[in-house]
Amino acid sequence: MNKAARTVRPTRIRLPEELSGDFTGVVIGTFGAALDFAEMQFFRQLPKSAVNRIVLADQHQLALFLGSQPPLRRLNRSYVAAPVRSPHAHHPKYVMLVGPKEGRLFVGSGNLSIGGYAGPGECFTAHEWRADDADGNPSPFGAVRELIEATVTAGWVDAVAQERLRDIFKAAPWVPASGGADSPVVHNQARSLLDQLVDRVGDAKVLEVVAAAPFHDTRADAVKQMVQRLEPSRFRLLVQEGMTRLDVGALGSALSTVHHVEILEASAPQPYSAVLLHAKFVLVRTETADLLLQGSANLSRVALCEYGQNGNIEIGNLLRGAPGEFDGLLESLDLESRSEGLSTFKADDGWSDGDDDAPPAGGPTNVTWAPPTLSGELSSSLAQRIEVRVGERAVVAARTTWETVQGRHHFSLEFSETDAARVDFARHIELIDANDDSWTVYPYHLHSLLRLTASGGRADLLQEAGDLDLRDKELEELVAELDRVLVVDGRSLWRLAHPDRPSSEGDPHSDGPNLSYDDLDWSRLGSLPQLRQYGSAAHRALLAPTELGLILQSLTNRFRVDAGVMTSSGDVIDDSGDLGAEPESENEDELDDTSGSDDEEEAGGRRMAPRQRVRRLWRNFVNRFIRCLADDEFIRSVGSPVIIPSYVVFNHLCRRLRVIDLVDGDFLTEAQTKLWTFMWGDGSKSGYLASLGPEELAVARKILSDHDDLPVTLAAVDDAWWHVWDNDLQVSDLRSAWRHFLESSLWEPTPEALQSAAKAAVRCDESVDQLFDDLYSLAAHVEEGELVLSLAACLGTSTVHIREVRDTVMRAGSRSDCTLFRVDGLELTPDLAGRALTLWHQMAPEADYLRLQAENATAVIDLAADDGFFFDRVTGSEASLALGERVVPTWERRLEGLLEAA
Amino acid sequence: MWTEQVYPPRGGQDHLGLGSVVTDRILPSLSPGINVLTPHPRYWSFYAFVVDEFWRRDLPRTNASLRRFLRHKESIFSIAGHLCERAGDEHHATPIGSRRVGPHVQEGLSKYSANFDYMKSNGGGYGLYYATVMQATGVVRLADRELGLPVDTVTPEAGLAVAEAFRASIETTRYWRRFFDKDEVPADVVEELAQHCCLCRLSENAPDRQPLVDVFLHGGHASQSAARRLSLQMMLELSQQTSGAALRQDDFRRLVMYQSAYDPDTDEETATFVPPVHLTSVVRRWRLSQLREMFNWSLNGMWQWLCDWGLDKEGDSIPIPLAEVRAVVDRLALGQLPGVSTRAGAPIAELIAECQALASMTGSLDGRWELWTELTEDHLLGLLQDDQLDMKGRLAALAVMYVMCLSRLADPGLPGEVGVEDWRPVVEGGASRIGMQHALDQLRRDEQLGRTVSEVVWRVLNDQVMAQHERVALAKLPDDTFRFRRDAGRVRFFERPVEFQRNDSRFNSLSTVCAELGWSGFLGDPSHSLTPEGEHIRLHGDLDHG
Repeated sequence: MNKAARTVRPTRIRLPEELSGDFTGVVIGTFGAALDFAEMQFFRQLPKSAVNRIVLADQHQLALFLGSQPPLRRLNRSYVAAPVRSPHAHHPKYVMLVGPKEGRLFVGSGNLSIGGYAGPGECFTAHEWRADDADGNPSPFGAVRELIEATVTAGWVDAVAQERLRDIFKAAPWVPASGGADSPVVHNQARSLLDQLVDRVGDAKVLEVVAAAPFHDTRADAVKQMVQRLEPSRFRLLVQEGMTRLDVGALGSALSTVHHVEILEASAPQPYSAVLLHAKFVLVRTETADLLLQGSANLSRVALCEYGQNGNIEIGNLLRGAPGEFDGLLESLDLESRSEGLSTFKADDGWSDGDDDAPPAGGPTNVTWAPPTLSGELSSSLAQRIEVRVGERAVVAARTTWETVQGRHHFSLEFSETDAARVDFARHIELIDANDDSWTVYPYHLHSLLRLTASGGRADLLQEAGDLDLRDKELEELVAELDRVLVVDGRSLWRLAHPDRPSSEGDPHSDGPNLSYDDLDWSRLGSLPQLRQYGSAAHRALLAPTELGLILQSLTNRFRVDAGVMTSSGDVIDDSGDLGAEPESENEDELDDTSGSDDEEEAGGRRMAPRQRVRRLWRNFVNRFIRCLADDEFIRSVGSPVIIPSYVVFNHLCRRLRVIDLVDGDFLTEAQTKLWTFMWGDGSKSGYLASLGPEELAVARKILSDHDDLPVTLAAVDDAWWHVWDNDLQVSDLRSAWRHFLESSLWEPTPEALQSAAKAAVRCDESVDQLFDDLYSLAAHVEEGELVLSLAACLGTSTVHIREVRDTVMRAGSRSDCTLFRVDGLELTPDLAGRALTLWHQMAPEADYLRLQAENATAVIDLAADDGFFFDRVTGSEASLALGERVVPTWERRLEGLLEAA
Repeated sequence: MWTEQVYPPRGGQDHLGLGSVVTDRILPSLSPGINVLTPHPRYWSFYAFVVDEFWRRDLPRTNASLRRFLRHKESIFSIAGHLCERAGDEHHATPIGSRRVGPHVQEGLSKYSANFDYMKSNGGGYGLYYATVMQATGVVRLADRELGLPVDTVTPEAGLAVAEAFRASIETTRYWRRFFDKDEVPADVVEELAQHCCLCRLSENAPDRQPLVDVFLHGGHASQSAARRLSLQMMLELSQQTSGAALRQDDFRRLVMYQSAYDPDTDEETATFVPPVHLTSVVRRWRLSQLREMFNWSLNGMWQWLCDWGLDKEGDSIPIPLAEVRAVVDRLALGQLPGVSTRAGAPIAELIAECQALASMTGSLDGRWELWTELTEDHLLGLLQDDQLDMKGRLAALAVMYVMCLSRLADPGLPGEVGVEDWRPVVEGGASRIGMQHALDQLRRDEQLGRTVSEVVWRVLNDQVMAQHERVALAKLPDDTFRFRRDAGRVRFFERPVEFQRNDSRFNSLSTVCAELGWSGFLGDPSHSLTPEGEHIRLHGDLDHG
């Protein structure tokens, strides 16, 4: 290849990969907002520290997007997407990342979308500022700030977004209030972009203007004014056949006064041919300098020539350089002169970029959720009436207040606890105004948003603790978040006590540091928010804004959906369950070709799916709490304020982990059995609950009740029983825990709890009868060999002398197969036989034929025939035999009582 | 500065995220432990034997050490499989690594290296394919540092039994006696080994056959082994009923779905399958797995149709207004399909009723689903695969296939009739992976609202094809697998491959297991009669114990 002939294309920008840095917030200005892309991809590439995330989007485009998509998962919970209600389009395109000591700003042409940020047809200019760079110029950031504050001052942005924006700039005090006169970034809130361009050109003679944009105004006003004011000798216009929207006649007229006009067919070079060039720029060449206006403004009057309320909201880079300095922009393109000009040009005639004026969207604004209150605003032209729907269900406010200020009705709706939970859980709600117009609204979740910035971590994930419906990577992050927020064991306390010292948390195989609980400064620990939040667990209002409250609410809400008490918002846009995971090849060789990855190394040559790692992390996390239940000193040290909420959390979590099959069922059964035994006791000791004093107990019961612990446990016991049954595992521990549960006087099952549990239990098919049958069969279950063991104890002999055999016997005059027990080496007496058979009946009430056979005698109870006898083989005598009175165990009485109540 | 295309275009697979519903949810519950890549029972005993030998040696208890040891033995095992004197067209037992080992043995070497790089995977075929299913069937326990197990081991019961049985299979060979730990093994020694350990020799009552039979019938959790037994029993029943017919995967699919198979060249029926009562439940679930495959095909087909249509219209150069797509749907050419008289503007209820009539649906999930009626899913599939339809006809066929699949499930009493477990394949997928139940609920709603056929097809195309593809492609980022993307009321297409296929049905694996365990001939051969043991399992579902 001839090197000299090769064109060297300028480097291109890879915006999504340029986001790392010490940033605390990000503001995105955009026309259209593909929030699914933002949630599922773009935000994941932001640094974790950038927790204050704000999208300012055009109101119509945002409404269009939200109306055409399934509900979003995190909108206005972990980030804000606020409509900008300007009279014309909100059309700027920028991404501004700021932190206390640095900032990065991209100003250009791309909207928040895959094509806008990661496609090849856009232009962006990057601006950076660092505290340690003495030559740094913060003015571009100031220009963006000025633009944002102008929209805020105009009242076009919701109050919550305003607050969040203030926080952004509070965290970056170095950002000036405006860009100043010479800023390389300009906006059009005080002056039009064309005015500013003309000013910077000054008196210099314009040799050439090169302009490109996918959209022109139909009258070619923008080009006309540009020509009139800059008076270029030459005008080169870049177009794309079939893609650029322009009016050929109007444009021809606008350019008629220019001496030399050249129309260039532009395309991106290979491999990007056929890409729509969405970039917009005006390059002005003078004898001494080149000026480039490049940004969001199309070649339309409303974008380029107007300002303030009369124009779109636009932003651009206005750069000055030596002649030829910006030629890289053109060198990146393939340009071909259209010899016939525009005469044969086929314009795009229908694709709107939204430059056109559009009527205001209307509807409620500023809708904010601060449990249990939903507030917002409506136009005062409407009557003061608003209805709220969550899914198919109307939720009615317990208290409503209205106030009319400056032409707006301000409403405030306070909901009952149950309805508040519904609103809280819903991805979006529907508001119906007095005109019966219905509006889908994503309220700003005030507590969640505040918590997010307060924690600096991924507190947004805590809201997903109930569903656990996340990508593997996020499931990993969620475990880390739960570990950060919850007091799980001594390791958690150690970390709280020594926040600046590394703990062994990174090593999942460590048992943690050696910790003496008495050495801890409990008064200091108690003042930390991580422990203080536990003290609020019994007070809903105090608990709600805490991270613990968020976890508990998420878990409880999820259960209530399973139990049919609440409805979910239906499908959401997400990629949970690894929707994007490529299926494993079904071809041996193909699979081998893709092997040998790091994951495989880690797993000993075995293909280890990321999910395996996640499974292990979750299992270890649960295991830490289960293990700490045996740590009496920990239990005593932290006391019931920590133990009870933690128990509730793990009881919910274990159930959910089984439902979604994230953790091995055997492990969960064992963990749950230990959890329940700890709380409710077993044969050898009473449970934790019974150890509490009356006041503590009352608080504990309230916390358990507030978070549906009883129905959760019933459903979880049923799920565990099915697992044990399916897999032929040992039942005795689970049965024992369940019986003690039933026998505990502290446990007060209600019919409602049974109904909820029946709906939530995976295998009950929503049937209370089925649930009852399951739970009864578990409590009554007799393990193989257990009956023999009990009979041996009753008869005072060893199990080796008792054999269970199938035999054919005469019953009611006919032969019948039955099970009987042969007892060797024992002299059976009527009394002994009666006790043994009574015990048998007690343990296996379904058996209707009971027979013991010893060398000296046979004892039979035939319940079907209502007959019983003791036959002495030695004497040949026969005596009647009856069962002793059956002692109904407590658990059975409790269960039957429950069924009656249900 | 111009922007770069950040996410590299990739081929990708499963562009609607539907495939895993069958492969990861439905099929594993039907044949746990036997998947498309684990068809040879003898690998269970061979790997168990190698792992056991590893533990008998004073070797570092690390994964790396086990890997080295395992590859050293498996390379010779694989070479031996290729040197089996039966090797040839009739030799069904191709060992792992044949892509590299095949040419290697063609060289006719006098000795073979145990360090031959027979496959890429560090963990050999064990790590790549078999380890997890061997754990699931109770033969090995995988390393778990939490449990203090640094490296995989055989289980004390089943694992040790099959390991020892394999050892007994080769105990007389020179390889075992003199060359097991050697790096070079003479060719004649490997050839001798082949006569004892080849995968195909298991059925000749090799010492490890019986323990392996026990593993396949009873290994792992009770519910899983019960499910596996039922599917194996079904395969043996199928084998018995189709004796004389060489079955292929497509035949299997038709036999479980329609109880009938045919020669596509002559349209003559080649086999039938009438499941006995005791297999009703398992056959029902296999049938639903294949119905799900048809359902997936209809959606994937619509996705492919849209891509083809868009590229045909040069939608990769200039985005096409969605209204144009809608216009095509409004002109749905249902008339191109045999027997279909419903028109695009008719209520969807008419098409549902017509589908039920054309396919002679009985409303039941059991019994015969007529294959020889005017129109079935299979017939539509044939029309689509044979390119017998134009662009409009293709969309119509796919839409009818979609409606027909759901019409099979239309009776609201079915879930209660068949029970939760048997209905599960219908529910699997939920909303995110378009479960049939989810689709059925929406279709019922459409029916109640009196929506027209074209309105319903547009909804499906919009929500379950376009939005679903975008959702899946978004989730696949940073690999760009978009084939189209909607933006501002238009849809832009990208020229990339749009092939798709049905998932493997596991027919070959199940058939191989039955043959290599000595229960039946290969179902792919015309003669696949059952052995007495196979016949016993066919009749009783298990072997007698005790």
